Amino acid sequence: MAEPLVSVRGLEVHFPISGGLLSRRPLGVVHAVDGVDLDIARGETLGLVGESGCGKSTLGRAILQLVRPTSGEVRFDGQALTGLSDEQVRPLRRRMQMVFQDPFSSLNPRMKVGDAITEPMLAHGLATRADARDKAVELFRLVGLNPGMLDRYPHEFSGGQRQRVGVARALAVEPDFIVCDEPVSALDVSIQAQIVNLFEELRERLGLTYVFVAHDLAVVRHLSDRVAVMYLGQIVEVAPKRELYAAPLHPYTRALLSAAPVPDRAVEAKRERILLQGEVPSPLNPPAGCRLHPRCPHAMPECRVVTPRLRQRADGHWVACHLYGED
Amino acid sequence: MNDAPELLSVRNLTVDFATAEGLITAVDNVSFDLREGEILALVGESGCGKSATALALLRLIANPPGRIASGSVAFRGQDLLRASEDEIRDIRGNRIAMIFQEPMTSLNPVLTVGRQIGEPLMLHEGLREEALLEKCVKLLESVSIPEPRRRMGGYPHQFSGGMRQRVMIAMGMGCAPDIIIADEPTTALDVTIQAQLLELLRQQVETHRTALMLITHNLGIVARYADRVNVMYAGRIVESAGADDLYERPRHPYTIGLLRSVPRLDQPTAAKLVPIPGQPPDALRMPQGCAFHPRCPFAVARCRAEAPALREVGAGHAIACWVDVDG
Ligand SMILES: Nc1ncnc2c1ncn2[C@@H]1O[C@H](COP(=O)(O)OP(=O)(O)OP(=O)(O)O)[C@@H](O)[C@H]1O
Ligand SMILES: Nc1ncnc2c1ncn2[C@@H]1O[C@H](COP(=O)(O)OP(=O)(O)OP(=O)(O)O)[C@@H](O)[C@H]1O
Ligand SMILES: [Mg+2]
Ligand SMILES: [Mg+2]
Repeated sequence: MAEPLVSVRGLEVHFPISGGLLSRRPLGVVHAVDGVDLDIARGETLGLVGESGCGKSTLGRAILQLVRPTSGEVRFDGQALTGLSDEQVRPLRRRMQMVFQDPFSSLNPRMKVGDAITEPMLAHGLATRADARDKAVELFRLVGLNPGMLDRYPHEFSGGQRQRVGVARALAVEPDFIVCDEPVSALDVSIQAQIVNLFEELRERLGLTYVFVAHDLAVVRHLSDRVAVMYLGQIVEVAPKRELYAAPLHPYTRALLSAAPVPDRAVEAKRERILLQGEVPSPLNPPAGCRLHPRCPHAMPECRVVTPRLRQRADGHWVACHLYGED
Repeated sequence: MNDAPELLSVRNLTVDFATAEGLITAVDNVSFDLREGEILALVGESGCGKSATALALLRLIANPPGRIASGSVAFRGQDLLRASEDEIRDIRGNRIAMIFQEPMTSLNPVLTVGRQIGEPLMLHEGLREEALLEKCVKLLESVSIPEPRRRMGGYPHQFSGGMRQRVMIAMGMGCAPDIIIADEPTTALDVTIQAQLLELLRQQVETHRTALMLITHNLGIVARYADRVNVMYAGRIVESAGADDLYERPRHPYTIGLLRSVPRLDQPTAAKLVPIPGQPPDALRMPQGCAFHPRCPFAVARCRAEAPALREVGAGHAIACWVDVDG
């Protein structure tokens, strides 16, 4: 395999939490990302899915060094990012962008969105003041927004419009790599299709590499080459999308796929859903052994004790589960 | 189909915003009813006026730049648009709960999550100390926040996107309201937790006869949960029907296009999704006649001249279209 664009080894991000206003007493440590290994090839789209709170956003942010990992290594285009100072990371920022899950808190409320888009272009010398505006107009058109809205402030948009502002802003600096954190979650299907097609076109034209975080499994399947499934801070399965959707191995992946709603009343009425039983486990205190074992319908004695490692079961299909034996 | 008493009756609701580009009409003469124990979905393209409709019901449109230009909203016979500030404040959060589209815009960043859930319970239910704490813990457990006792002292930014959304849902259900208005309540949630929470909302509807107005762009969710559906386009309701009916026999060209542009897990991946051609209309330059006509494959001369009103085309099924595609 050619050298991957992004390479992640043993990545951990832990957040200490305290009692809040009244007490500064530490209450524990959130194991948001807990030992992730991952390679992302150039021009690849990697889908990243998993339960709410399992660490997808934190993993994305840690890859881009927007949150500093507790331990482990991230390499981008051959260069180790972990260990670089903020100063040293800055020149790489243009090449690695993020479309944030929460567009509102990532936009400056007092800056017109047009300026929020043109300013980084100017700062990185990608456009003159004269053509920055034209580029912003073009970007707005591409994401299906009326260019007349460039002079509005963030709060003057609808939820889905604001999300597209976030997409336009990330694309403005012509990055090589984008972590899209739920970039179309607030969009209705028709505009979603337009943005999804835009991502695809840009990839074909400019060779962009994406990590695509989304809970909509149909959209993930549509866009991704490979899909990684995360559970409680760890990757439990990763495979080319066809294999993952046709023959999911991990019990968590299977439950996840069975729960996706389908826009058809008749099909909906007949489909079987596997609902995971039991308490949602806490990243403050992850279960020993396999992290899914308290909720897993197939749990065996060893699952309570031994943490299964990610192993290759078929070509490019990796799974961390004792059901598939140790070698 | 549903003879339960009306809880909310909206007539000719119109909402304007003054923007840098001029005055736009975000909600245009919208009328609908909401009944006890009913789940009414409101769907439509990003920016079509769904959130503005919801916000207007509770008089939450910021003025300026917004204004409720006309209409009435009768809740158990009382016109909310003409109620006193005290009356409306009591109704908000107590009788009619709102789950906002973007949690970060409505959660207070400097107050702990526990405090924000607890405050309305203190105010409206007079709960104190241990009882209050217990109730908060229960609510957070019901939305699958692990270890709520330890997480309650945390601030919103320490929660994941989906966890914040779940906090909003917990707050919305806290005071057992008569009506829950949920604006894209599960966009940030993976399908398993999404399914759990929608079941939870459905239970609330069934056991307490709560009415739920569910704003969502996810047609799979609509198929699974809604009793009735209102489809909005450019500020107007263009189709209104029972959910079964709508999926079996969509009759407005916009609805038909909408149902066609969804990627589906139960079908093979198409090469490209089929978005509805063209762009949503520019709010400042609304097309003459039917706002959808420039994108409509069935448009005839009359559509360019005159805007169609909503008219009955079957039992409980109405469309605003001159050409009844299926008629
Ligand atoms: N505060 C505001 N000032 C100016 N325009 C606004 C404001 N809030 C909303 N709008 C405009 O009103 C229209 C309707 O917005 P609304 O938020 O109701 O859309 P929506 O249907 O909820 O869309 P989405 O699915 O993207 O959330 C949009 O064109 C939006 O740009
Ligand atoms: N700054 C922070 N301080 C403390 N805990 C944090 C912080 N950021 C994230 N967390 C915690 O880390 C865990 C993982 O959060 P993350 O946002 O990565 O989840 P996610 O997979 O993106 O979830 P979602 O699908 O809901 O967005 C959660 O338990 C969250 O509360
Ligand atoms: Mg997230
Ligand atoms: Mg909205």
